[in-house]
Amino acid sequence: MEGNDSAEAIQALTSRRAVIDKRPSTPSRDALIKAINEVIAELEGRDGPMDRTA
Amino acid sequence: MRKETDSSQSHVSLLHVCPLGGEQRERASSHTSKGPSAAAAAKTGALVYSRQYSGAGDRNQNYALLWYHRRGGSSLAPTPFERLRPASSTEALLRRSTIHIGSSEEVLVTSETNGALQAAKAARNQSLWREVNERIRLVASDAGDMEFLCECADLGCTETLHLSLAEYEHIRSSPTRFPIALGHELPEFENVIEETNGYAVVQKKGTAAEVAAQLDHRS
Repeated sequence: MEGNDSAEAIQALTSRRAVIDKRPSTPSRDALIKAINEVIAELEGRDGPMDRTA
Repeated sequence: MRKETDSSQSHVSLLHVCPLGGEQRERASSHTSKGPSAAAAAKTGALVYSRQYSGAGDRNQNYALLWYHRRGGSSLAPTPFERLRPASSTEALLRRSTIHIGSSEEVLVTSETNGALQAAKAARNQSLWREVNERIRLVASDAGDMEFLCECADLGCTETLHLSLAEYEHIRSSPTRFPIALGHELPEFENVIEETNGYAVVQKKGTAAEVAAQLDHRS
């Protein structure tokens, strides 16, 4: 179940990042992306990278 | 596999075990008037919600939150109690939100269990966004507004909020309050206590409040 929880969290973060990533670069937008990336990296580091081919 | 057939003897309890590491001290609060002791709970654990938190200094504690559903029969599964270890805040966030089901066919999930799980799920989702916002806070300058994620319970939400650092810190001073976009509240788990032009502040209630507080690495 832990893996499922991580995958769900990563997917939610990735989706949110994709929406923000479409906006023009601003300090606040870049801070959002950076923060999301950090959390994703921690999650992937814990459970291993997600299978992005799926 | 044995299926649960006697729902009349079942009930749900919330068990706290804290801190872990060293002598365990246990206290249990039952959601029913006839809840068993923590020791009895340790012998059941059909449905377990566990969490762990590790922070700095005197906040360095590990917790385990266990929801369990006691089965009516005499066959009791061992508690899937794992040894907890220090973790990063993100790892801890997920670890403490892990739900173990010892044997799904033996678990009879009551409406009370569903409510607790939904409350925990909502609080966990919000804590994930809060984790991101805490990182934004770390890099934010003192001047001007910053953009934060809406901390509503919807994992599909893509709204952002513009808050000053003072506003953000005011909300974060309570572990059970979250800034959300207007209209994103879930009344069954939270109350709107403040509304501005751009955002609302919700106060978690009941089990959701308890989980939210325990998931807050600041508290």
